Amino acid sequence: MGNMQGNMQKALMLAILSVVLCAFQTELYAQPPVKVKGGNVAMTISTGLPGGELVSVVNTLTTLDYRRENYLTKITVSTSCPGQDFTLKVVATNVSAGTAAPEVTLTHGMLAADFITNIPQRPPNTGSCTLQYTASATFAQGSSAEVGNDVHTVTYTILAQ
Amino acid sequence: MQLTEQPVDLISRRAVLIQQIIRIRGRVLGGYLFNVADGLVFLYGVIPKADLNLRITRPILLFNNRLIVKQTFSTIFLFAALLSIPANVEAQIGSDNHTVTVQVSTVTVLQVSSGVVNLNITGAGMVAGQDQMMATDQSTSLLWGINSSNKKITVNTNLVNPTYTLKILAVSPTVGIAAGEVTLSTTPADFLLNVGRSSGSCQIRYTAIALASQGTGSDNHQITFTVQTQ
Repeated sequence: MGNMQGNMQKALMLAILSVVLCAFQTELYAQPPVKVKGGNVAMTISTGLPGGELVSVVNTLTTLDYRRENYLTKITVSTSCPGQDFTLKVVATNVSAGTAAPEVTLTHGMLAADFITNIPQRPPNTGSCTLQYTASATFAQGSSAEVGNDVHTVTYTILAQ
Repeated sequence: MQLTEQPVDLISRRAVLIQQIIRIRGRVLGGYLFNVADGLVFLYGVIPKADLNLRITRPILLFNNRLIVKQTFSTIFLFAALLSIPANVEAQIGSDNHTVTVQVSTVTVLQVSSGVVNLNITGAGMVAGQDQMMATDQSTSLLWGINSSNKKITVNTNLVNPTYTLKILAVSPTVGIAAGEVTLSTTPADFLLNVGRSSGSCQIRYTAIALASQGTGSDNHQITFTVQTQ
C-alpha cells in the first residue's frame, strides 16, 4: 500500500515537472536563436574628395537580437557577395550581452569571423546589439554604373564558444 | 576536434537536449546532443532501425536524482557511452541573414588650389631689341577624383579675344599624362589624359607672353577645367 502511494507521488511529481519543463522550453525556444531586425540595408556612396577618396557611409538602422543559452556562446558573421568590388565592414555596437569583436571586413568567400564573443549564459534569456555597417570605395574601384552594385547576403550565426 | 570520453552526470549538469543527429541509411550512428552548463555532451550509440520512431522530444526529467527518458527507449545504448565534448567545440545553434546593398554613384570632382593667379609682365630682364616678354606662374595646382573610366581633363578660357597669349601646362601629374603646353582659347584643349578611375593632382604652370608691340594693358581670364570622355 505504502509502495503504491509512493509510486503515485512520484508519478504526480513527474507530471508537474513535465509541465514546468515543457512550459519553460516553449517560452525559451519561442525566440529564434538569432534574428536580424530592421530588414535589408541599402547604402549609397555619392561624394568624394578631390585628390583624396570617396567618402564612406555608415548605416546603423538594423539590430541583432539573440538568445542566450545555458552555456557560453558567440556570434560569427560571414557574407556572400559574388563579384564584390567595394568594401563593407561591420561591427557590433550597443552590445547588451557579450563582447563586441573588432570591426570585420566582409569579403565574399570569407570564413566566418567573430562578431560578438563571450555571450554569457542566461538569465536573462536575450541579448541585442546594433549592426553598424560602413561602406567605402576608392575612385579606382569605379562606380556602380560600370561595375554594378555589391549585394551582400550577410549571415549571423550563434554557436557554442 | 578533440574528444574525450568520460562519464557525465547529465542530471547534476542540467542537461537539455538540443537535437538528434547523424542518421545514415536508417541507422542513427550518432545520438543526441545535450547542452550542459559548461559545454556540450554527445550521447552516441547505434540505434536499430525499429527504434527510429522513438525520438526523444522531451527526454530529460529530473526526479529523485535519476535520468528518466521516454519509456521503451533502450537504456542499453543510452548508457553505452557518453562523450564529453570540450567547450570550445563550435556547435551551431542558429543563424539569420539579411541583404546589404552597396551602391557607388558616379562621382567626378575637381578642385583648383587657389582662386586667383596674377601674372605681371614687367619687362624686367628684357634684352634690348627683343620683342617678346614672358612671365610664368606655378603656384597653383589641380586636384581631381574620378570613378569613371576613359576620362581626360580639358581646359579653356572665357576670354574671346585676349590681347596677350596665355599658355598652360600640367606639371608632374601624380596620375595620367600631361597633354603638353597649350595656348588657351575658348575651345577646350586637352590638359591631362588617362585620368579615369583615379584621384590625383598636378601643378599648373601658366605662361603669359606679350610683345612689346602689343603695348600695355591686362587680360582677365576665367579658366575652366572639365572632365570629359577620352
